[in-house]
Amino acid sequence: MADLRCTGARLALGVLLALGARPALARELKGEGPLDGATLQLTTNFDLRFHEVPDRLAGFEDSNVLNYTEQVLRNNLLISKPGLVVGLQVDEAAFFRNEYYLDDVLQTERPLYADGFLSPFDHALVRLEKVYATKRFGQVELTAGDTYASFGRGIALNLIKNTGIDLDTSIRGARSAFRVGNADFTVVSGLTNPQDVSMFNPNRGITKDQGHMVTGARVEVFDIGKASLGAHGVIYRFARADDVNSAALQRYTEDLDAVAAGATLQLNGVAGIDWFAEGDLVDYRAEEMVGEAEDGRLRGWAGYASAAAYPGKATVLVEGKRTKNTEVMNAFSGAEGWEIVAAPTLEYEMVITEDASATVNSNDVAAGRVRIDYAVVPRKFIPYVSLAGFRDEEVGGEHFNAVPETIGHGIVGWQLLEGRWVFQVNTGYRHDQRDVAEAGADRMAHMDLDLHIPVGEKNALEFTLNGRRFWWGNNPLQQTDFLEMNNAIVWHQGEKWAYILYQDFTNNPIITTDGNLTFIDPSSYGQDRDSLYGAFEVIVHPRPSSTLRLFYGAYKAGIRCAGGQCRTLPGFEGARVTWQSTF
Amino acid sequence: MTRTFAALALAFGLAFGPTVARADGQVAPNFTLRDINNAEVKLSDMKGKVVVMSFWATWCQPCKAEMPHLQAMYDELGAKGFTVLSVSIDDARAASGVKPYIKSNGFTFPVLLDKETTVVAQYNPDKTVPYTVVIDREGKIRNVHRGYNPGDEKKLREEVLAALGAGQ
Repeated sequence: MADLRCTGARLALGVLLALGARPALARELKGEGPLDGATLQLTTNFDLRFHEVPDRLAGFEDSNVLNYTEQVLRNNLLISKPGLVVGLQVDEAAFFRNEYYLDDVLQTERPLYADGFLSPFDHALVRLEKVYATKRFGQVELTAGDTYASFGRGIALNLIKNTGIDLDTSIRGARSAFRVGNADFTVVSGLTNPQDVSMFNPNRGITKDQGHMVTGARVEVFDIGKASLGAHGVIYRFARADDVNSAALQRYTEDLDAVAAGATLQLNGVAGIDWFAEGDLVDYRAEEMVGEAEDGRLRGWAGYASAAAYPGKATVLVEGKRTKNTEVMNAFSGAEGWEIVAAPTLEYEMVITEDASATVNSNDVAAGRVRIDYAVVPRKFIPYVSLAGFRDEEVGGEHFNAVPETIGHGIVGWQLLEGRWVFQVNTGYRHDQRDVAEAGADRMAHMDLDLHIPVGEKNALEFTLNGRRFWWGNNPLQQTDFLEMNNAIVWHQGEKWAYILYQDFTNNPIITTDGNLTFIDPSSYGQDRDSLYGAFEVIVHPRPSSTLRLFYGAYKAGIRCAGGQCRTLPGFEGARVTWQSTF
Repeated sequence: MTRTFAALALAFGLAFGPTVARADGQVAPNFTLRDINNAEVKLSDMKGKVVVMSFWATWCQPCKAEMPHLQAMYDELGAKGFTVLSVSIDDARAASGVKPYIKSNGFTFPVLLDKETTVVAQYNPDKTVPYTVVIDREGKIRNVHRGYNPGDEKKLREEVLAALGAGQ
């Protein structure tokens, strides 16, 4: 029996916030003050999902009290006028039917947030997640509040929006960007502010932010002939669990945990080639990062270089990197599920696996990649080939290998566009050979494709396929070989409607999720078993700036990577309604 | 910290107490970015032109399907006061691949790098791609488009033609 106390209050809260999402197109502020004449833009995301949970309470196999409903609303308000931009992001999340009585005792199945989180409701919270104001004074742009920063290729600092995997960690403080002569300067300082409410993934036990201190500066001088030269430095002070109840600004007064510095050189069109090179040094001082280093300090370093040439109809991109101990910087933030730095991975991130993500996050890796595109018919038919090689010396930790390994990854594909026809394919093979013959090799074959076939003047049929087959070598954490697929068939009905049938499959025992259609016995969790998932979705665009999605079914969990960061995203079974709009 | 910011926001609103009236389009926030050739590009320099700002990424398949159509519009309408500002949201570590992709396709419209996500955070906080913004000659946002399906370029072209006509 579910308890519906406070449901009325939570519904009222949702309605109030949804009222804030009414169209504000072409609205202008009138009044005294700096915002006079500014206009408003509102971007709204609303998600209502009913989670069907197959688990049952012991002794109550016919009762499904663990099902619940989750509702999330995100409103981004942008206020702009010439020379001034103000932005606000307000997030709200609520659980419904999250409680039940057992032997007349009220049971709360899952907490939305941990102790210490401010909320007047038991199962709902509202957050002013981001707030910023950007003002331009001549050549100087100043931002106060939440901002982002990335230096060079992200090796020393890479705090950006990564909403593709529900990550958005900003720096809450100040940022200034200004120009002197032909030099661009960026100075940023603040405390990290990770996004607390997940828009697409289940919210559970949201905790208070830790607030790590980040202060950095970068200068880049352009137009030195064909060259531009840059340099940057960043200092860090990370929060510990004990710091959560202290004033976050205290981070500024405490000893530094790490210092990073780097330089970049870019040469455009020298000998017909675009060149880029970066080098970074890191000095770790925190006890938790240094480990057992004798002098109490741990050093890290990284080098990355790329060259791009354009002979005839071909384009050639060559990249290389060598990193040592640069991932140590993510030790604190990684425990919170996000990363503060991200070096180029040189991996094909569509098919990251447990094995490949270990290489992405390796503290001792050298890698190179060559990609050649050839425009057989420019803008229409462009096949390509890509070949990457890695030497991963790190063992243990999240790695499945007890010895170093050498990895080769070849990919071929093409882009074929003709009118409304689209046919894009990428397929490859990755071989991960361990140094000790008995340890064998991890292997993976993969393919993804997108085929869009016009039907009549306005309709179209689309097929998307993503599949990978993985074979493990021999390792101490022996796993089972697996096959994974995410496929879909889409019927596009004119400009506004789309009907989608999804089909997922995985027999990867690591990815044990609810909702597979072949699920039979709860005791089989974690065991090797086939898992087929199906879902149906209707998408409608009532206008180009708005999308309504109605989903019913299940999809599998899996590793997903974006921006050099990887997360294991949970699966889902149930129904959901999603509304996205910009007013 | 949360309470501090909430209080600041409330104080901000009460201090100015503005009323809200209908306006003729949202002011497109100005920005400065570097293009793939390191040239500085400001949105404010485009005033007087109709601009289609297209957010995309090298890993985005629908974006790749849309870009040839943007090039066709750029070729056809460029002389009439129209331009495309293609904004790559590829992050810093993937930035080396942007120019080779543009060169291999022979695209000639300006391509800007928003590696730090400061511009996409203002225009497209969901960071969905492709995401297309139509800006009129006065620097006001006329329309936004989420996603792309082959055929959507017709509607976009109609909006651009309307914006070009309205300003003459």
